[in-house]
Parts: sequence; C-alpha cells; structure tokens
Amino acid sequence: MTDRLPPFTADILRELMNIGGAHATTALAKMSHDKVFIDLPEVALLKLEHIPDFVGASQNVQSMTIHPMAGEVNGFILFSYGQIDASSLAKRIREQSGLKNGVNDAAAILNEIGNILSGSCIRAINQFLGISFSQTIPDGTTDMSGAILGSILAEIGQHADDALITRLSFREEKLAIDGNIYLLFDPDSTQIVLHAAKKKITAS
Amino acid sequence: METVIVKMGEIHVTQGEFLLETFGVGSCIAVILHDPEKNIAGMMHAMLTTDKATQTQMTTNPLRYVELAIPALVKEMTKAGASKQHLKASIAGGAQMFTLYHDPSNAIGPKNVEAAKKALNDAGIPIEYEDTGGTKGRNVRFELHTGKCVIETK
Repeated sequence: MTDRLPPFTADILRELMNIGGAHATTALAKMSHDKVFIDLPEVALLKLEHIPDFVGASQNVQSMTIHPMAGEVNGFILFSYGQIDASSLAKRIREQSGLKNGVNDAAAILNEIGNILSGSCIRAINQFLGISFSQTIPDGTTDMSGAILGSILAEIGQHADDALITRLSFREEKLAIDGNIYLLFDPDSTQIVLHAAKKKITAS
Repeated sequence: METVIVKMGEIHVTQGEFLLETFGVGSCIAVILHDPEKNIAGMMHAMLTTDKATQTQMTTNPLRYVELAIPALVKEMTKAGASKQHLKASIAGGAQMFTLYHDPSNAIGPKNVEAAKKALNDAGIPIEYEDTGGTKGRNVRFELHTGKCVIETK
C-alpha cells in the first residue's frame, strides 16, 4: 500500500475532513441529543486495489449509506456503522428527533440521517473551499464492508486508477455507537479540492 | 491447511493441500481454474470489464480487468504445470449491491459475469460451478483437496 500524498497536502486534507466531519457530527449530536466524539482524520491517496486494506476488516458486516457527490467535484460520502450500532442509532434518532412522518424502517432512517450529515459536511466544505458540489440520491445496504466498498471502487475505476480517501471515526456517547465517515474523490476531483484548499490557505 | 488469500486485482496459483480464498466479492468477480489431474488451482478477483478502460489503464493494471486477468491466470496455471485441456472453471460474484445504478447497460456486476463467461468460452474452459448475480456480497473459497467451491454470504 503506497500513499503518495506529501505531508503538507495530507495536512490540508485532514483539516478539510475536520471541518466537514465536525459539522456532520454536530448535526448528529443535535439529532440524538447526545455528545459525539471524533477521532483525528486519516487520509491517503491510493491505488484502488489498496483501498480495502486502508478501510480494513473487509469481512465485517457494516450498514453503509452511500451519498454520491456531483458538481465541481465528483465522489462519494459514506457513513458506516456496525450492524447493532446501526439499529441502535436508527432507534435513537426515531425516538429523539423530528424525522419526517412515515420514515419508519431502519434503512430509511439511516439514509435520512446520512442525508442530513452529508449535507452538513458538504455545506461546510463548499463554504471553506469556495467550490460547489452537492449530494445526489443516496443508497444504503448492509453487507460485508469489502463487498460494498469493492462495488463503489468499481464505479470509480471506470474512469480512474486511484482515489483519495479520508476517514473520520466518531462515537456517540450514551449508546456508544461507533461510526465512520469516509470521503472518496477521484484524482481529478482531488486536484480541484487541493487547488482550492491551497488557495484558501495562501489567502488567509 | 494453509490458506492463500487473493485480494482484489490479484491472481494466485497453488498446488497441493491449500485453500484459496477471497473476501467481500460484490460486483467484482472471482474466477477459479482447477486442473484436477495435477491438483493445481488458481484464483483471480477482478473488478471491471475493459469496455471503458484506456490502453494505459489496461497496461498498468491488467489484473483489474476480467478479460485480461483470465488469460493471465490460464498462463500462470500452465506455467505451474497444469494442462489447459484439463482446466475447469468456477465463477462467483457479479452482484448488484446498490440500486443507485439502475441503468442495466451500466451495471458492473452483470457485465463482469458476461465477460468472464465469454473469456472462459474463448479459452475453451468449461464452467463447472457458478454462483453469480443477486444483491449480496460473497466470500469465495476453493478447496483443492475436494475440488469444491464454497460460497459464504453474510
């Protein structure tokens, strides 16, 4: 597994993930009326075949919601939880928050949570970088993380060999729900993100 | 018994008392070739078909592509001593994990299955076992001592 990101570039991308992830988890904390703790973000630019090793535990069953991003950059935001954590989170949010009436089953609730979280994350990144992209229709599934990820990487692989991946792990305090936020960009989008980030940092 | 793990974009050939295993096959496809006479088997785990790939992509990452990985696996098998006329294939994978990509002409899983069948047919290798399609990911294991392909879903 070879990560080809220079340290300064990795720092910029970690900061970007901090900003986006912090907004997403703040939205989650508001919805669940609970504290949400976040870890330090991880970031790597990898050949597609090496990304499953970065994510790890490819045989573990995860509930993932997948939010494609489109606009000036293309990519995916993924939210992943263990199966039990996903059920607990869906139940808590149904009880605690004002989700739309009719959103009852766990998969639909997780998609809705993902929509709100990815919206917060993207808005924060858009605002920070001054570039425009948005989420499109989400999808979700529960299966081995390697199988889900492999299918997403195959979509990226149709036009790219590598992808930028960032991960932010979080924990919701009371129910000890663990989750991960992943941002995946293809190389062209990575360059646009980096260019905007460097411009922003130089200007400040 | 020793297990050889085959990752996405890899091929491995082995002989004797081994298990060949690959995890989390979603829309990707796993192909196993087996020469029961010599007890040699090889496994590959490819991600895509070549229809949208550039020449550079095919040159730099040939094992990513079904149509290139199958001939490469056949070559490795014969190099290890297998007879091409004895080879039998097992194929697994090609699921459609999401509904995001409704366009059937762009569904990667079924395209991978079709490409694998064509490449095996072109090579004159019969398919002995198939577990493809659906919406679930698979763990794929091949037992050299029994010649059986075992699929696990979760």
